Amino acid sequence: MNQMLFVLLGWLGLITRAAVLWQLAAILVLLVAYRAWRLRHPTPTTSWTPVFAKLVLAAVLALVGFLLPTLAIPGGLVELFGKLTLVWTALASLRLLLRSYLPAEQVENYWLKAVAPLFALTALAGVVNGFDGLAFLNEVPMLKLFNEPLSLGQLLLLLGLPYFLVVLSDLPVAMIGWLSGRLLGLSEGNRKALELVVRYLLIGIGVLWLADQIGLNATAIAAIAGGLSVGLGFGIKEVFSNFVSGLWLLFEGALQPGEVLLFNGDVCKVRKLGLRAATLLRKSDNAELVVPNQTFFTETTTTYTGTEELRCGYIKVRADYKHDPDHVMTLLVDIAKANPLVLSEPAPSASIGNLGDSAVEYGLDFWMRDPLKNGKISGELRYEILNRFKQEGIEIPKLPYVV
Amino acid sequence: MPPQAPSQGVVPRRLAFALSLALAVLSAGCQRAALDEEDPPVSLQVAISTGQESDQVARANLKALATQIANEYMRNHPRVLLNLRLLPESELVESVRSRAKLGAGPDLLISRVAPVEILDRQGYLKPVDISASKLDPLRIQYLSEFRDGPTYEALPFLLQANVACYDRRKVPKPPARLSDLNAIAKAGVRVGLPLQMYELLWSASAFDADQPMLKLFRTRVAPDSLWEGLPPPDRVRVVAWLTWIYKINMLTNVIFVDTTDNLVERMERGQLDWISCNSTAISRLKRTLGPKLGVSVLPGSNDGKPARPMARLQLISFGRDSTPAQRRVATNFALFVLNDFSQSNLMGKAFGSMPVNQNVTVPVKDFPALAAMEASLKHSTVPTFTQGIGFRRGLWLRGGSVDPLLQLLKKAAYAEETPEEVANGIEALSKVIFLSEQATRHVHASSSVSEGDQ
Repeated sequence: MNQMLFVLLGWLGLITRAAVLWQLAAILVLLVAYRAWRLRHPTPTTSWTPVFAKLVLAAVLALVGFLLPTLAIPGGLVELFGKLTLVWTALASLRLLLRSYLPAEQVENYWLKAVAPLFALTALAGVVNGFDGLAFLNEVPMLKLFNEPLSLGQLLLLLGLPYFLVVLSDLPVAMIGWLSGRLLGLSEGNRKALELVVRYLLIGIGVLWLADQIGLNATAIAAIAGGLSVGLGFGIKEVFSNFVSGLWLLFEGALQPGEVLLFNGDVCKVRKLGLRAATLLRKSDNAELVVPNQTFFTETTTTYTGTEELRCGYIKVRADYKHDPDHVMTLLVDIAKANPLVLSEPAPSASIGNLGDSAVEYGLDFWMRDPLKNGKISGELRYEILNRFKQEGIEIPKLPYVV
Repeated sequence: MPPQAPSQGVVPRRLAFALSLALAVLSAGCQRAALDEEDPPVSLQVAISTGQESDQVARANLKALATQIANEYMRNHPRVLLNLRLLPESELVESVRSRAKLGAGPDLLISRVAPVEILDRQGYLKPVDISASKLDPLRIQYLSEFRDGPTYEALPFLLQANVACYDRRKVPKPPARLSDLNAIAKAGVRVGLPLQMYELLWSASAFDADQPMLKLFRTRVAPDSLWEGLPPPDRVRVVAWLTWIYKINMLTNVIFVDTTDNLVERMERGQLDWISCNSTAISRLKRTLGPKLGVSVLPGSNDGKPARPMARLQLISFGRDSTPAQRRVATNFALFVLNDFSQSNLMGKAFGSMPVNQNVTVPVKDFPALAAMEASLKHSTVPTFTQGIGFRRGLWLRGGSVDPLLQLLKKAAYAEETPEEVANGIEALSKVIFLSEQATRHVHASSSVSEGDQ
């Protein structure tokens, strides 16, 4: 830690040189001028004006960096800031372009979580590299991890890499998923499952690489494994169980994002299969349910999209004994066939389900492509049955009340 | 939705804040400058070249040694902070160049002569002005070579000799002449020789071809001078030496390799019994071979003249970007490492390096290796800004990847070309280097003139 302090104090010796101070002052003045201009000329976030303004700023920085040596002042630092501004401008342009093709929320999310922090780190590394090189990162010991000295570079890796692994893996994973979908013709569910597996794989490889970089030896790994065993036994047993269940479900293909299933009697769509829990969208009230993965692993799951995606709906209708059953059943089948959401193949069919005390109970079976549309189709069919029964004079006897 | 326009008062307030911050930074610098007049807490950047070879052991030793010296100095000067940065020699020039563009070049550089000459020529170094009253008592060798009027472009720091290292079990008596070397190789001793010109110059001296070669690759020639090839008598000597290279390589027990580092590695693995090496490798070989390691001077000519190898000279030079306070401390530190105590200490701890301070007595009777090093240095050619470093110019011209002179010597060793053809190639290479040197000097001179005009 002392050596880190030495390094920082060493930089102070460089920064307080007049040549460096003049450059910093020039950069500050230009940045303040740019900021003042931005405040006086507010623009919408989708406007290209700030991009052009940044481009001008980069050009001015480059020009000042070029001219400073004529005053016997080095201009490298100003030029470096000019280059960084140029890179930032290019990224800002890309951001605007992407907003035209992708949802703005998605672009902004990636920008804030990944691009901006990564640029800030790269810029900082660029400036430090310019001043002192980056070799010292591996030479400044910070602390000991499992009796192994951890250098500043390794510590930064340990702190930063997991974050960027999780955040940055989004884009390549989405691209792999999209490519796989296009090339292999994967379904939406399988594509999302593949994305999740690839993501875990990338993170896993990253973690192994990190362990290698920070020099974790076999003893350290054994110690971590020992610690994890105790942790698994007590506190994080459920978390681990849910994690393993999630992975198992994915590999088995028993539960995939996009799948439609019956959960607690409600039709739900699986939105996301996470590390600990799955997120379901309940169709009836548009509520999101967060269900631990273990639930699907240990309990019976009713799915409509397991091996085939067609769902069979069923409506029960009562009619008086005086009506011709063939006529009623033909009418029911016609009503079903007339509905555009009901599949013609398999064809709808009607049958007598029961001979009740006061009425014949008919059943109408119909097939739909979208399992989530059952409620809507059933409602439409019932409405149509009521209307047609009225037109045809078919009575629906009331159930006798027993007093 | 476009962001709301700021109120009119916000802009001046923010501007005022930013400007006051800038003024604070500037005034901090000015205050610092004012403080420097009295009692300066000074931070110094010291770049140390770790040599051309990728020798991690030597690097670790050098780092430990440099840290120790720096700590000793800081103990005596608690308001001074020395930041040591170790860099491979191949990266030194580029590192200094890129840092100097930011005004952040190192205050002190410790490296061999070749990179210092390049940095000096390109204006990244600033000569140091040290009074004779401070330097004269130190009796520094080769100091005058780096004198430029009242200032010094660099200060000699340490000397490293070119010697022979051998396994005593296989070589009871080290060869004193080239004919002896041939004899032991024929008798079964496995001999390793480097192909780098500056490491092989000792063998050229046996044919009196060393001076012609040095002259051919001289540097910092006068702007109006013309390139001169090898005069016929010198050419005969050079061809004789190239013929010897070819003939000795014909012996099955002799091997030529690209670097001395490679020779040291092979000797550590027990694949070689006698090698030509630099004294910096002695401590490394001692670790592997222990008392079985023998060190001697390199073989001389067959008529008994001692070999004239090329020594390595480590220099201390001064960056151009230092503040006056940093320059003052850098000068003090340089004098500290050159004083009798530090030089004696360095010789003891960095075995293989000899002091330039002639007040220091080298204990040659206690350490035979030191005796061999001193004997070698007695006849050695020491590189300066004008001689010795030209052998590596071709390497710099090719971007630091392929040494054309080494390739030519390889052709001679493996009979890919006749000695006459190789001699022609050497002359042609020296001409290319000469012309590029001239061109660089013209560019540098004209840029200096235009800077002066402004």
